[in-house]
Amino acid sequence: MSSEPGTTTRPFSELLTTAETRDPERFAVDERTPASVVRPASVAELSELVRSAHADDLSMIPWGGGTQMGLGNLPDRFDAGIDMTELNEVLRYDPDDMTMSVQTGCRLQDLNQMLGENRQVLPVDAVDPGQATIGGVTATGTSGPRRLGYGPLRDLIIGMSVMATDGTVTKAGGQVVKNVTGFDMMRMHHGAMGSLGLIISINFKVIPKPQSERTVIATFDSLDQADTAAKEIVQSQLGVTAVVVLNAAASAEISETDDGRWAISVRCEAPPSAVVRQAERVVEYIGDQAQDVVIEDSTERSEARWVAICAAMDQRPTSPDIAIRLGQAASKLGACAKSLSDALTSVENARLTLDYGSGLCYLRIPRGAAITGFDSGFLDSLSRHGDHCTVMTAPVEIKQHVDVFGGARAGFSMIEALKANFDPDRVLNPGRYIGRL
Amino acid sequence: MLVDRRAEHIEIFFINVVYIPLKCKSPVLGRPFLDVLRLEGRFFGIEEVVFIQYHIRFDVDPVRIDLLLSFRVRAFPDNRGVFKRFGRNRGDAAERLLASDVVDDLVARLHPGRFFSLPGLHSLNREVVFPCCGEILGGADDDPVVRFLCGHVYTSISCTNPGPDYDTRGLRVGLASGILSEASSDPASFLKACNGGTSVAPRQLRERLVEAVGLDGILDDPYDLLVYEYDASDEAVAGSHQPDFVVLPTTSQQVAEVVRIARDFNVPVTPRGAGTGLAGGAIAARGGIMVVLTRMTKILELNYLDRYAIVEPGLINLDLSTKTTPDGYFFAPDPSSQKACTIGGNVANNSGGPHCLKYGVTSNHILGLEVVLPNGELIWVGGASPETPGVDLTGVLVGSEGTLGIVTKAMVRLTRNPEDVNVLMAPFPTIDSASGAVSAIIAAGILPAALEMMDALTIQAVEAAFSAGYPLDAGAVLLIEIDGLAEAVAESTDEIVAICKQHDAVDVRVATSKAERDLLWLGRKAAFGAMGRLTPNYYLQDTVVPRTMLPKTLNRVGEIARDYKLQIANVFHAGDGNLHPLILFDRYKPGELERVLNAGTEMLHWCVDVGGAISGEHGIGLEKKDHLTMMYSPDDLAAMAGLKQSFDPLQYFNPDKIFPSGTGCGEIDSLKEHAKWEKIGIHVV
Repeated sequence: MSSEPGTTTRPFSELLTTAETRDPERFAVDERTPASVVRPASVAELSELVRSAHADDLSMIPWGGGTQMGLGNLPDRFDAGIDMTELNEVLRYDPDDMTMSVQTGCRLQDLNQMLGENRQVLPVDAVDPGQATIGGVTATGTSGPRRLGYGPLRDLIIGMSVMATDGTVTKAGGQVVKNVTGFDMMRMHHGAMGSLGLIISINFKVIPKPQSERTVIATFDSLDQADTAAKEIVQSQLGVTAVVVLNAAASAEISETDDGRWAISVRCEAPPSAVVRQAERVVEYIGDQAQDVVIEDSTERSEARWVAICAAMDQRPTSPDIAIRLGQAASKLGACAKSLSDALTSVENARLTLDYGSGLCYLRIPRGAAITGFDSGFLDSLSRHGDHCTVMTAPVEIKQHVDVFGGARAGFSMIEALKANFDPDRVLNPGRYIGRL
Repeated sequence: MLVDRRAEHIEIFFINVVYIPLKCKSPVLGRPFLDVLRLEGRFFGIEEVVFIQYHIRFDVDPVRIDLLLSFRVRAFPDNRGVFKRFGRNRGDAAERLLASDVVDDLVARLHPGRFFSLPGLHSLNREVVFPCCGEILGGADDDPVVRFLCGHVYTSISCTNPGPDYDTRGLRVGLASGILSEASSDPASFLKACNGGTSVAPRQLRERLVEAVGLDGILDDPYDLLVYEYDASDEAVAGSHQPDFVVLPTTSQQVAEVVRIARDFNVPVTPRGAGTGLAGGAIAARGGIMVVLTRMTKILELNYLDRYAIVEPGLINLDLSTKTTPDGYFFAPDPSSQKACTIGGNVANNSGGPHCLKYGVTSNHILGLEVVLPNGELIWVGGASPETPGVDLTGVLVGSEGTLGIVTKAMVRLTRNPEDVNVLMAPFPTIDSASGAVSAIIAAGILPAALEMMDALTIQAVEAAFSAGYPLDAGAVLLIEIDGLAEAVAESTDEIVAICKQHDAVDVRVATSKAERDLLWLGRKAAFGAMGRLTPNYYLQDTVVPRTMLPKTLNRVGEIARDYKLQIANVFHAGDGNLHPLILFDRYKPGELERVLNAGTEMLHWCVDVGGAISGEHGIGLEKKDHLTMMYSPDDLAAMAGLKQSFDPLQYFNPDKIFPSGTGCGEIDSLKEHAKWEKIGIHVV
């Protein structure tokens, strides 16, 4: 691609300092280590690096906190890691407007700490909020169980700026909570794995931090009982913000006791006196068949429990598990879990997390587990239990055989066209996105 | 006889048709046609027409000049009673009869034997479309001199007893002689000029379309096309244009087939729902085929277990909630036009509404779409479970104003009815004190379902029209809705009442019954229509600012009103900073329209300067496309154009929309080049 008029593009190698290439192993993706890793401290610096890399036909993979880097197909090539974590400035925070604009490398936990000082919150679940960056969570498009109460992250994003492969930064949306000015480019980049542009900054709306919260926990002898309770609570007028059912193995990870039963967790967030009553009413819904009904009656303990539950969303390449996510409407989640459990009886420690508020089922299997023929055939058989199926993290030998996104689906021709328009030379995350784009 | 005179409200739309905006007074009456139309309303037993825009259209044929009036009556669900009392409540058929009755009656009343009505009656959805009358004043039989009526009214009308003696003098309207003679001297070229030079579509195209949608699914008679030149945008701002064909498909496959035909013949495609859009998005800017989806109104699936519905795009927004509310669910997006607008249109415009403060905009409620893409593919994107792998095509399509695809089915989120709802009406002495209360409510960590503000001017208009119970002496009124768990609603209500009182609210009223809540909301939702009480025209803006900038922005709006010597009423979604300043004017006062447009542009500049946006929920369409550069650089626009290019490389889906003039159709690359040169200080003309 031609360079900008009046400017020269220096070779990428000239832009590197020794410090920047010191630790490339840490930025390996699917066992592929980049020749260099850069950690730009400013957008201008990033722009020059990206432009040069593109001119030199070097492929780039952006990194945030790394908690989701197991997601994606095997890269076709990987020349330069772009560590975005130095771009971590809070550009603007207007508590009274309940909006925030931050650079891509800001950690979720830091943001929520800052927001908490004004009794506000960005209600987005992440597996390790201390590590996960807003840019990474946006690029991978993962939202957790609190989607039931507050919607997915994409619904909170109101603006974005993105860098194209020629180093140009473009923006879309704005700093207001309601905006139909121009195309919603934010939704194109959300979940696109940075394969259509590098996310530089994100504007989002925040919500008043719920004045108090409770979590109701209970166990059931059978999946059917847990399934019925979960569905009824989701359909009720109780307005709870998350409903999750765990199988015994998944539950054991959190409570450290494996009693062989299915466990439900329900998150209640409301004003102080209402939340007490809300939790009591959840208990009534859970009914007589439940055992060990507990209400986590402090906000801290409730929050901690949900951080633990969100571990099901861990997509780190270093994860000891193969993680798979199935999409299935809530009413069919029970049946989905039943057939998965049946199919996996021989697999030890297969953990299931059923997110009834979203319609997602997370399956985790130890990497060492002997699964004969974990190939596209096995994946196909799994994906039959859901509307769609994504391998969130898996060892290279498995990824070699499958498209972790389940391959091309309806509308893929549009995604191909987008890739051709936004990254025609395939230097951003080449091969890693759906259909190995 | 025509209308039950006890009925309190009937909403009537007169949709006009335009080739030439007639900016003249009636030569007979020596006063604007507006007044004439007010009289016309009496034929419906209507006391007054409160808001009118109208234009005149010529249709020329070698022998005769017919001057047409076309207007449209829409009866809303709660006005079904009107039909019932006619004893002909049989859906479309009844509406046809009603329409015939009205036409015949109107003709009879005007002047027996000297008026003619034109064929071409259509009943689409609940719209009754009937071309109407002109009066033959004289001239030879083969060269008559015709007088006519025309109108475009989008309004609420109070129906009371008109009395037996209405004044028909107003109907003797003569056409401005200058225009008539111009038209007479060379009718064909005159029509072509008026028509923007739209080419006559080839016969084969028509044949293919008839094959695809059947004879009763296609309109190409000039009389029939009249009502499709427009949407609810102001013609003076967004313009108008006639499509060559209107097709009314009934299935997704028909839509796909029509798109393929358009592609084969290289003609533009413009999708349209109810035409209530305020930015000109549903105008066939380059003619071609208009795909009107109002015959696809079915609810295909209601799934309460998974809280979604699958609906056809022509389904009226409110009809869905009306159907599901008794079962405990509703469709949350609630634009003010929800009695008329379609869900397909909501998707195209990413519509908002008062309740999106808590529930979010349309985009947050669309789970999946069946869509016909510009390449002719008919596909489903998204679905009942989230995170479908790959780019979120559903999210990209919502709000794209029909430029990327045509929605043929939508899977929409149904929201559980809240257990409890309270509506508070809090009058404040000033806008400032009301704004202070808004900030304090938000700061207290309460998220109401809706938080709406109306200023004194609006209150006057609304009270005159509806007697909703807003105090006339208030400087501003806040309408606050709180919903959710009963306990939480009670707790938050107390807190909000206390906050309002701290900010000098005079007398906070909590609506206890549904009837009372509905009345408070009626005033808000029909506020635009009520503005007709104040002036014949208004220009509605739709800007957004960060919420904290509201007080300053309202001051600025007041200054602009003074600077331009205009009245501006303010109705807005205070909770999310979305303003709707209504610039009141009379188009027929010389120079007024220009002042209005300039005042509007100045407001846009202010809002962008304080960190806002130029459209919060109405869209860009034709109206604001040239203002897009206020917010976005050429690079930003080029990126958006890349999205358009990916979906529609032929640029034939709803052309000329969203992108500033001169940046569409293959000019994207040059735009990008220009951006690069601009960066280094070289300005390309």
